[in-house]
Amino acid sequence: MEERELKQLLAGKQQRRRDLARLPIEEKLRAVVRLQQMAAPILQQRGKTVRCWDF
Amino acid sequence: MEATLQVLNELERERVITRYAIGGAVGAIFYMEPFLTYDLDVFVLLSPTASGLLTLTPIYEVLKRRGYEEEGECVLIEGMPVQFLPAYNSLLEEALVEARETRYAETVTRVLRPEHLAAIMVQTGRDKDRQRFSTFMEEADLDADYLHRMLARHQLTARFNTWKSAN
Repeated sequence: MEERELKQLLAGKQQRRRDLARLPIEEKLRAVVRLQQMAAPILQQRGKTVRCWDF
Repeated sequence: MEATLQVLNELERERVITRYAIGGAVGAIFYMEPFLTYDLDVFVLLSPTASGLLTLTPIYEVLKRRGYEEEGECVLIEGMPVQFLPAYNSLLEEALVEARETRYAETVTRVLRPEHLAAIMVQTGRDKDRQRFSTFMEEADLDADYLHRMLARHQLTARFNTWKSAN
């Protein structure tokens, strides 16, 4: 991969994170719940008790 | 979440707590990209008891009477584990006083200013604060003048600069 392509990729990634930061809080917290649901089985396998939000 | 905030607002109206504001991970998410967390950290200014003590017990008692059970260090309020943290130093007291009023859906709530959240990460100084600090500083819109005056007031400038230059 060329350096120019790599820079473009990284810039796109950074822009995506900035866009996520500007979402409405309601939408951001819905994303947190999705992250919780994805992470919960892995954390539970490691013996950690977690509770996904229910709202 | 909205129902949880309504319960917190009721606690404040009923003077169980003097003032509250969202901090911790959820406080940070108000200003940056979402990331994994399981708790809602709520900083509180407590009303003194008759004996003059500042304790979280009255909050837990009121919530228990309403059917909200303790779960570890949290209380499960309307489906969310809420951890109450008393404002135990001058930085947290100031952060609570200067917290911003905002809305979550139709409900009014309060969240710590981003400058105070950054200062609290620096003051607390855990590994996870340091990891979060770097992304937070990239993504949150901070008032630089306000931040630097506040850091100086709380003797956090040197540590802040060390963390910032490590990014």
